[in-house]
Amino acid sequence: MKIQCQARELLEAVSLVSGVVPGNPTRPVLQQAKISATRDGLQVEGTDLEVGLRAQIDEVMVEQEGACLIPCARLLKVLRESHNPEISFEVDAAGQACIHSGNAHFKLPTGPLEEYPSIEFNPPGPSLRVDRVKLLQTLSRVSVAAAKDATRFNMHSVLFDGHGEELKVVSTDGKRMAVGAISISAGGEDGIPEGQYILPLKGVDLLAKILSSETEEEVVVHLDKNEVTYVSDRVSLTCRLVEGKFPEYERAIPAELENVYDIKTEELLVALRQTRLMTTKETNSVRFQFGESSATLSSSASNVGESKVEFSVERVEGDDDGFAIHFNPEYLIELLNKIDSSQIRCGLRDGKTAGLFSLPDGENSYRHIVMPLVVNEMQEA
Amino acid sequence: MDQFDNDSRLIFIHADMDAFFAAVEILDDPSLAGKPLIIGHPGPRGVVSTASYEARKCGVHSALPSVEAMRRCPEGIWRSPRGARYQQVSRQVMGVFEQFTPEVEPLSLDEAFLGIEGSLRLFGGAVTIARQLRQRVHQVTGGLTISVGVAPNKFLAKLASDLQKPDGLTVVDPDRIQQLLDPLPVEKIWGVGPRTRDALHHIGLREIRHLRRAGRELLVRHLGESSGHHLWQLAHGEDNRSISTERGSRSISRECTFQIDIARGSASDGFLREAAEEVARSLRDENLRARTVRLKVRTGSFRTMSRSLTLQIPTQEPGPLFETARSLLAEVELEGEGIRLLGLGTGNLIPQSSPLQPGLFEDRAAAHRQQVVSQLLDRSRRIEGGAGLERGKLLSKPPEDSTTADSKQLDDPTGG
Repeated sequence: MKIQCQARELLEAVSLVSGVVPGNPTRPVLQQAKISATRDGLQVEGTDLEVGLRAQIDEVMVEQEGACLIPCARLLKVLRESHNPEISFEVDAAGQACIHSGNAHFKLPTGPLEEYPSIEFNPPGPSLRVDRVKLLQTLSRVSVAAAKDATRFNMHSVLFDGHGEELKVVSTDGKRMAVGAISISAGGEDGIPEGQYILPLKGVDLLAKILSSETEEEVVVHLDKNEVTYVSDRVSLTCRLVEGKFPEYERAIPAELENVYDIKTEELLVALRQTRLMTTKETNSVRFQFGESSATLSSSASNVGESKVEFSVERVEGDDDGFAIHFNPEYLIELLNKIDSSQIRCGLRDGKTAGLFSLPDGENSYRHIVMPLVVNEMQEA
Repeated sequence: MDQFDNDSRLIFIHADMDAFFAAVEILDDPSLAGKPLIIGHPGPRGVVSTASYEARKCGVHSALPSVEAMRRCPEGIWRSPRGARYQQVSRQVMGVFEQFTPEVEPLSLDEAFLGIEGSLRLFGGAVTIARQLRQRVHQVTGGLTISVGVAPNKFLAKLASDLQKPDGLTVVDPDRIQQLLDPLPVEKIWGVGPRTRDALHHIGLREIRHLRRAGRELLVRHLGESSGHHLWQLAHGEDNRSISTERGSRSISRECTFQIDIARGSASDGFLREAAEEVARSLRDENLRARTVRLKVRTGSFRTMSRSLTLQIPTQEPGPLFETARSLLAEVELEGEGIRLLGLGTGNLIPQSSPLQPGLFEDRAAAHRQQVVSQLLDRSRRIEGGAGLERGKLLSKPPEDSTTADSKQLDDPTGG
C-alpha cells in the first residue's frame, strides 16, 4: 500500500484508535493498529476484543491499495513528532512501513495481518435516535457515579434502560447513583430499544469522545443483545455489552423527601472544598445542618483541625431543622463539577436516608442519590 | 548497669513475655506451676504453641509437631490455647507499655518494640524505664514475667531480650556492640531462618564475626542484593528502622491445620463460619472494622496460596467475612487436592468510630439484625458462665441450593 494524506488527520485518527488499543494485551497482535487504504479512503482500526473502533479519513491520495498492521503506540509517537503538514506512508517490499514527513523518515516493522481479528460495524436490531448534545450531557452527568474499580464490572458501567420513548441512563458505585432521563425515538426500521443494556465505562467514554467532535444535531445508537454500535461517516464504534446484572436502581431512589432546598452550585462547591481541608482519609466526612435561609457545613479531624462554613440556601419545602446529615465531600464535589447548572436542588428526609440531588428545572431529567455516612454522634459531640 | 541511664543512645526496648501462653495458664491454675506444661493440641497433626520452661528442658519448643512433643516429653501436661484470654492479658501488658511511651509497636500478643527516646528524661533513663516496666507488668498481670532488651536499635534490642530469658534485663553497651555480636551464631540474627542459616553454613559462615569478615560482596552474591546488604548491616549491629505504630498495618486472623485434609464444601464452610465468628468478635472487642478479607489455603502437597479482597463496606460482622472468604476459596485452584490448612484473616483495620459509608442497595434491616445479635452475643460473653449463647449458623444458604443462591447474591454487599 502507498498513500499520502494530511498529517493532522492521520494523527487524530490514530490517537482516537489508541484509546482502544490495550497496553498489555493477552494477544500481542492487539497492540497493533490496522491501516487499510481502499478506493473509499483510509481506515485506521483498533480493538481490545471488547471495543472496536474504526476512524475514516476521506481526504487521502491512495497510490496503491492495501492494508498493514503497525504498533499503535509507536505510530502515535511518530505522528506527534511529525511537523510537516503532509505525510506519506507506504509498505515496502520487505514488509516495513515507511513514513515520510518532510525531511524525517521512519521505518516500522509491520505485524501479521492474518492474525488480526475482524471487526463488524453493521449492526442489526433496534436503534435509538437522540439529541446529540443532550445525550452527551447526560452521559457526563451520569457516569460520574459509576464504580471506578474495573473489577466490579457490572457497576463499572452505564445502564441504558429503554421504556418506550424514554431512555433512563443510570450509573452507580453502590454508594451513590445518578439517573438521567432523555427522550428518544426509533433510529431505524427495527424498532426502539426496550429494556436494559449495560455499557462498559470504557465504551461510554469513547462514545462521548466521538460524539463531542461530531456536528449533527441528532445521532443514532444501535443496541442489540450483545453490542452497542455507533456508525458515522467519520468514525465507527462497537462495544460488547456487560453480561451481568445491574442493581435494582429504582428501589434505591428515595420517595417523597420532606425537606427540599435550592442551593447555588458554586457556593456549595466552595464550602465543600473549604470543609474538606479539615478531613482525613479515615474521617472523610462533612456535616450539613440546614436552616430556613442558610446552612452550615462543618468538619473536624483529630490532629488536623476544624472547619465551619456558612452558605445561603432557599427552602422550598419542609420545616425540619433538627437533623444533621453527613456526606463524603468527594462525592458531592464530583457531582457538582459535572452538573453544569448554576443551581442544585437537594431533598432530604433525615440524617440516615439517602439524599436526592436534582436540577431545579425538570427534577426527573437528572437525579443523583447519595447515601449519607453513619457517624457516631457521641464522638462528634 | 545504672551508668547506662545517662546514655542517650539507648532508645529502643524490646519486651517479650516469658512463655506467655503457658504463663497465663499457670496464672489461672497455679497447680500447673513447675510442671512441664504444653499449650497446643496433642492430635496427630497439631503443633506446640508454647511450652513452659520445664517442658523446654525435654526439648519441646513452639512449632514442634505435637506427636514429637509427646515423644520427647511423655509426662507433659497439655492445655488447649485460649485465644480470648491471652488477648485480654496482652491488652493489659500493652497498656503498661503505653504508660511509658506512645511509641509501642506490637509484634504479636506477647512482644513489642518500644521507642523510648522521648521518655528518657521523664523517667530518668533507659534502664530505669526497663526496670519499672518489668515491675509494672508483674504487678498488673498478677505475676507474669517479661524479658527486656535495651539497645540503640530494634535489632539489638530484640537480640538482647533473648539473651537472659526468662525474667531477664539485658542492656547492650553501645560501645561494645561488636564484642557482643561476634561470637553469636548467625541464626541469632532476626530474619535468619533455617534456610538462610543453612545457606550461610554452606559457605562456612557460622558466627556473626564470620559474616562481618566475609564482606558485603560475598553476602550479596549468595543472598541477593537486598538480603545480603541487610544481613551485612545487621552483622555490624546497624539497623535504622523506626517504631511503626500505624494501626492499619495490624491484622486479625484465625487459621487451622486440619486433622485430615478436608474438601471444599460443607467442611470448609464449617471452619470459615467459625473463623469468621471469632475474627469478627476480636474486631468488635478491639472496636475495629476490617476493610480487607484475606484467605490462606494450604493443600495436601503443601502448596500455599493466599487471596484477598477489599470490602465495599468495612465490617465487624461475621456474615460478610464468611461470604467473602467463601467466594475467595471458590476461586482457588485446588487441582483436586484436599485442604490441609485454612486461614481467614482481616487487614486494613479502621477504628469503629470512623464514619461508615453504607451502601444504597444493602439490606439494612438484615444488617441491623445481625448487629443486634452480635451485641447480644458480646454481652452474654461478658457475663460469667454465659458462654451458652451462639449464633444460628444459617448465615447464608449452602451453595448446593443454587435456585435461591442466585437471588441471594444480589444483596451481597461485597459481590458487586
